[in-house]
Amino acid sequence: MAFKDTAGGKALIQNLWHENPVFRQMLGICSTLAVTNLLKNTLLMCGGLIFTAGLSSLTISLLRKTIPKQVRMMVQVLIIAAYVIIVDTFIRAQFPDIHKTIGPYVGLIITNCIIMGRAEAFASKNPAWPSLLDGIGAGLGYSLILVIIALVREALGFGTLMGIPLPARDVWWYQWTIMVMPPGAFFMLALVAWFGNATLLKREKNGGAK
Amino acid sequence: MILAAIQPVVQSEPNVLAQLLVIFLAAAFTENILLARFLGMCSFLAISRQMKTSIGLGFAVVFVTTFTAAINWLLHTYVMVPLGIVFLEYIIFIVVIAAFVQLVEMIIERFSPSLYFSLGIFLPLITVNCAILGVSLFMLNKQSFGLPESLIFGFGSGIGWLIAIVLMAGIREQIKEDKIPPGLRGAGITLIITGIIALAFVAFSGMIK
Amino acid sequence: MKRVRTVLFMLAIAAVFGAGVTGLYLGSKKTVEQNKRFIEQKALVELFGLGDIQTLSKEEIDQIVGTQIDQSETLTDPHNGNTIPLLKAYADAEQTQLVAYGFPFAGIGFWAEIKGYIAVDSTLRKTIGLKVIEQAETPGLGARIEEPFFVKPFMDGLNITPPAPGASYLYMGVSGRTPEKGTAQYGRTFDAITGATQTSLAMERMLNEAVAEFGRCVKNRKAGGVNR
Repeated sequence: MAFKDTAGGKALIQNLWHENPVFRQMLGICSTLAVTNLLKNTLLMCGGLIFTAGLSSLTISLLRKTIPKQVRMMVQVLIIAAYVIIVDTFIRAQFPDIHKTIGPYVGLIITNCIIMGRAEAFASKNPAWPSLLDGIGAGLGYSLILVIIALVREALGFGTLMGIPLPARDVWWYQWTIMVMPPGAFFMLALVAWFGNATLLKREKNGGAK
Repeated sequence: MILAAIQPVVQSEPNVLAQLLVIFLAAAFTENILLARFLGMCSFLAISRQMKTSIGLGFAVVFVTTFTAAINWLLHTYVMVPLGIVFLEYIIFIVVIAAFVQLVEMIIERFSPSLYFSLGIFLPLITVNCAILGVSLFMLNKQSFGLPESLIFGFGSGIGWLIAIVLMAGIREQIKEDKIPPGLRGAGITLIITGIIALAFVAFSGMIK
Repeated sequence: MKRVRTVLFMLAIAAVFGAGVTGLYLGSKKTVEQNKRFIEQKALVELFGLGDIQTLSKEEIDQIVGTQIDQSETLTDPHNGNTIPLLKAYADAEQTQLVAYGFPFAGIGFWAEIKGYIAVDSTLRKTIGLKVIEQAETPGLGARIEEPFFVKPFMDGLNITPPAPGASYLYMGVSGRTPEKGTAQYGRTFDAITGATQTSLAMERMLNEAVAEFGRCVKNRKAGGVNR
């Protein structure tokens, strides 16, 4: 059996494009808007999210049979918040310079609806291994879209990539401030969603339900 | 801005009601949690399709922000600070929010089944609405806030969110019949409209110093 | 019975994760505090131009702050009774050659508290630097208050002598536009950050408050007011 046919592999691959959490499910939008004006910050945020989404999906899946139904949500947010704080404390102690950039996002990772959404939709019903892969897949699908948006926003808005000035900057390129500001993220995200949905729709129309 | 500007006045000025009104207006308009701070986007995009459900969710958010702001303020002031466990604030706040949402859900289910059915499905969504955790955290930044100020701040922020989602639902109902490219329907066009409204809100920010 | 189990489960989960977080917090508390102290020391060395923080080691920076910066004096604001620390920076370890004075500023930004230091020259008439130590403004927008372009006007020297009645000490202005001579803004303007109006306004407000308070404190000290 190929990897993509196993339950976990399927979950991982589905999350990358067909069921992409950002433009298909419209989850995790707040952090998409907040971090994508600089590629470096985007990558840090994505790393944090992949890690937390994977771990919390795994934990929730392991506990899925013991969690009483009435307090399900409370337990889920507690687990997610605890993991985020643990990661935050670790980075704060070991890599203070990185913490300076990622610090403000801690609250955003906790309330990132992707983690909660995957916990609720997948991890609370499936075994541990596929849940871990599903969480990581959701994180990767999120990262894919964020990196695309960040590439465009940083290049157009600051004239740099990873903080390194592009050749055209200060020569003939006029920086678009709107790309740095949150409305720029709305427009970019709308374009990505448009492209993504249009390609998926076209494929469905052609009967290529893959 | 306006909030910070009145801070020194809060202790000495006797006209408490006027200050509370200023806090309310700032939270609802100039510092609108959704259009100026861009929090609470996910449920905003998902739910604003219909006017009726938008109003339902909007009021649920108002209710939850108001009371969780007050509860979290009390916990922060009388439990976390004295015990020196402020580092647990994220965990405590989010659990309080989840617990409160679950409690509200149970109470409504018990006493008004009809309201539960029209609102029930939206209640769990509120837990992960980052606007609500945001309100509890911002409230602590304004150090001069007491319990009444926090309550009003939470209420105002909730009303701000309600206004934003009702606005968007109105626009989306209007454009339902318009010719929009199929790939852009739903979330895509909503994002573009929100972007334009957000641009307009940028102009608000310089209005009150 | 079921309800009891639910409550117990919730308590158990909270205890396990609460203990995990608390343990890590307590375990790393010392390192975190040291990091914080080091960031502040680096900032002070850079603020007063006492050395190149890129090449200096942690110990050297610690030593420079210990010997060349005198942090022992506090000033009292006669207006409200607040006390603020007065930093004195010297070019040498024997503390004979005074380079600059410094004092802290703090206030609420767009998201959270902003803290930092302002350096002024020995005449107390103009700034020679600004350093933000703590901030959580929007990355790429408000967070640019730490960048050289924002700090440059402060290093070049902004006028902090008492302004005309009704005018402010400092103004935020539009990048690339220098205010005309004779206006209240002349020599007192720093660049606002495009797209981060809220953060810029917050900086304008908190810097004015800090400079005004520093002015009152200095006046009080000259008049022989109680210090320390």
